[in-house]
Amino acid sequence: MCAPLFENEHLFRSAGGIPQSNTSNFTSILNLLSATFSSFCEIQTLDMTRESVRKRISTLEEHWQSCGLNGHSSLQALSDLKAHIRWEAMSPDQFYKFYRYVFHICKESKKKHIKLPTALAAWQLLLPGRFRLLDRWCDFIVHKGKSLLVINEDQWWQVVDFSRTIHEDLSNFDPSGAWTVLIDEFVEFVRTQHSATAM
Amino acid sequence: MSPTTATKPSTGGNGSKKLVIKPLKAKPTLPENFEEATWSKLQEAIQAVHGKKRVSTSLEELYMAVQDMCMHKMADKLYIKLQQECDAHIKVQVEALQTMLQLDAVAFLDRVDVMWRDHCSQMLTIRQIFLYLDRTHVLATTTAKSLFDMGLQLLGRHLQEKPQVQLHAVQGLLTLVERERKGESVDRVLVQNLVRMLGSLGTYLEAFQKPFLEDSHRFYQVEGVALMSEILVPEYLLHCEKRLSEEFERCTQYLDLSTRRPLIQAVEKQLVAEHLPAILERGLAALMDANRVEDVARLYVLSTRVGALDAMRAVFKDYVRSTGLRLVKDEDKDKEMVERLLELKSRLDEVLQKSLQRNESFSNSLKEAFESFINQRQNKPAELIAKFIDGRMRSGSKAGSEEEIEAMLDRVLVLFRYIQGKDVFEAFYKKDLAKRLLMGKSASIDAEKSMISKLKAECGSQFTNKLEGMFKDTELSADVMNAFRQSTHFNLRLPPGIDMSVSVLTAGFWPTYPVMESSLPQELDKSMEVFKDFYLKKYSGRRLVWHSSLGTCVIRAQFPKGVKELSVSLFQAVVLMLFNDVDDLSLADIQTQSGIEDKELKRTLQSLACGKVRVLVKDPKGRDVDDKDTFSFNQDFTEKLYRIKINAIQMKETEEENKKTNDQVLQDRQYQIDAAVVRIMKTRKQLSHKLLVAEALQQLKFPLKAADLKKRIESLIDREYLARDSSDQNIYNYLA
Repeated sequence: MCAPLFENEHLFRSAGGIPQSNTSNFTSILNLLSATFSSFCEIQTLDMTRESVRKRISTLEEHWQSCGLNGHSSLQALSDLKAHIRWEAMSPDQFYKFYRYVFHICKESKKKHIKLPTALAAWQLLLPGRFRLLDRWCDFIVHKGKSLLVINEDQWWQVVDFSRTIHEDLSNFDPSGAWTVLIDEFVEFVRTQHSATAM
Repeated sequence: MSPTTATKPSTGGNGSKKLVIKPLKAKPTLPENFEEATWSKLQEAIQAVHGKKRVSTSLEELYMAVQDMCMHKMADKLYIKLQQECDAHIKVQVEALQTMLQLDAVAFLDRVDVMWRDHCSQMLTIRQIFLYLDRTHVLATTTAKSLFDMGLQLLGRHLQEKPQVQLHAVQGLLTLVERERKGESVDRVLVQNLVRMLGSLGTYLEAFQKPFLEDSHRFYQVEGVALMSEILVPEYLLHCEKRLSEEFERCTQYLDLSTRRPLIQAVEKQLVAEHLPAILERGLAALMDANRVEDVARLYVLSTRVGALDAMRAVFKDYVRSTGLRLVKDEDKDKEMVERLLELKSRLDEVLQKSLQRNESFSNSLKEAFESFINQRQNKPAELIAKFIDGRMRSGSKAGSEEEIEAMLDRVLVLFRYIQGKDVFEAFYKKDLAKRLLMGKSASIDAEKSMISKLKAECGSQFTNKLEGMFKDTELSADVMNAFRQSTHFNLRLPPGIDMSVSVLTAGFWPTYPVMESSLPQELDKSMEVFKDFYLKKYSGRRLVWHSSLGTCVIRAQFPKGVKELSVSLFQAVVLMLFNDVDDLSLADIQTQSGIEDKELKRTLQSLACGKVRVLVKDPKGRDVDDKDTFSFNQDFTEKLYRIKINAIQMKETEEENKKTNDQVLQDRQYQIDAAVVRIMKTRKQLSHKLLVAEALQQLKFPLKAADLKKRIESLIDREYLARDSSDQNIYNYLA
């Protein structure tokens, strides 16, 4: 199940061109990511019960963690391998999967969330070009300060959902919708800032 | 009478006389000049009547003359001749009026009036003379009008030919009415006569009513605008009322009744409807503030008249809401809030009853307004209402007789009904009730029970379940204590000189109290053991936890200047009993020996050494207790009374305690939200966000912000009770 899927192969470009000394380490991580991403996508597509999906994902997580990939270190690895994974070039659906995949590799071990600094860095790494309000979002997250320490899976997903469906001017945002309170607060934040600057 | 004689009626006499009627020999004929002669006689009479002279011939003769002429088929001619005669006369009269047009309108009216009265009386006399004509010819001929009507018709026609006459007369009438409106007295009979004239002539509507109504509109428009800026609202309302009744009376007195409706409408429109928004805006709040029941009633009636009740109700509601909100938001006067709200409520109820005729929609608006403002400051009002009741129910309060307490409870309950956060009320009420029951401070158990039954009726038995449990516990405890006092445990095993009373509380019914440890004096420890032993023998399988912080003691203290009985809290007693052996102790010593938690100990010491009654002396002196302070037995203690109550500071309501109660309520609410959401999702399996929110809000009885609900949903997602649907993030699935 660790065999990379064909369509993902071109996304994870071979690590041949990496000049650094620890090339072998890089290559192995890249291969690991490439392989696990394939399995991750496969898990999503199979018709399985929720229970077994979760089981398989937690197997994957254990696998990553045994390779030292969790929390911020995973993000560091992604950042290093940016040129090779090339998520900017992914199709929206592909990216969506990848984005969800990132949550799992960046999770704290045995926890159900990622720490805020990791999440913030991850957004800054993944979302440029995909989320027009990214800078505002990051301002908002910083502005929240100590009241927000972790990001759970639901909040993580909603950020990308928000970036995909809501216009930049927030005109189609429905405050009575099912958005998480964090997103509601963000919209409020942007709107008050906007009206403050407008005056 | 025998039956045989019935055939022929007897005629009176024996020999019958015969009456013979012979025809006239020659047919009688009218005299040659009969028509001319009779007419000239009549004409002379008519002219005499018109000229207001004595009629020379007797009226009977004239009547006979008319009858004769009619009998001889001259009625037609006679009618025409009479008509011509009258026509000529009336023409002269009207033309005479025409020449007086330069007279001022009112003086002119007099002339018209004279003319009209003459006309009527003359026409009546003429009709009497020509009665036979009027009764036979006119009735038989459809084209001919009765004589009086003929006179009217003629007059009408001539007036029509000289329109200025009527115009001038109407002008005069309008002037008179306006003068009367301005307060002058006018000749009402004159006006009435002329109005009747116009009515009889059939020109009332067109010639009078129309200009009259226009005039009225104009008059009241001007008056309304002027008065609104000149006088205060209550006076203005009074004025409107006066005007309306004046105009009403005017219609009854001298105008045609058909004018009443449009005239009153004119006044209503110009004086009331036009200015009502301004009146309501400017006046209602002030009237309500000043509790001017009559003025509000007036305003209500006027608003009803012009169909502006909805507008008035809106302003009324706004008033209630803003007034109430001011009271609720006035944080400095929180202590009086409930009292002030009750006062407001009773004031408004009075207005509702006396001024607003108990209008149902107003009463609903009142309710809505109360509900809206009372819940503006989250849970504070609920808390204060509970405290307010506590204040009244506690012994020593000046709540008055049983009936008064009952009435007070009913009034407070009305406020309670408006509160959304009933759970907050319950939490605070329970806490206070617990204190009253445990400290034996309740003024009347009957009143307590009545309150509980009221709450039960209001919110159902679930709401009062625990409160009732508390009563049961106190009653049960009393029984247990009776049994204990008669047991061998009490008589043989209790240390000498000690009496004790224990309240056994069922955990769950009562508020949760923090367990505060302290090492008790040996005597007390022993007593507790004895009771525990007794109790557990009676009710095996139970667990007793002692709440020292709630205990009270009465101890006897021997001061150099006299023996006193001190009524103190258990902690105070523990501290004081340390001084049985030594006279001076440092804070640290007291702490190690008593084992009371630091903060609590400091409070206790403060109450003993810095309060009103100082049985201990603190060194150095000061209001607050410091770590390095030492305490000593007060040798010089004096006090008039034998039994002294030393108020314990921790018994007082602290901010902290309030906050704790509030937090507890919020915590409970979160569980309730979670439970409601899970319950809904369990039955629905899949539900959109909006429907879930709607259903949850319907189930939950306390005020809830959508964001709070959302947070709980998110928490449930996080805990994997729910998941968002993979295709639509607005839909939740229940995870079994």
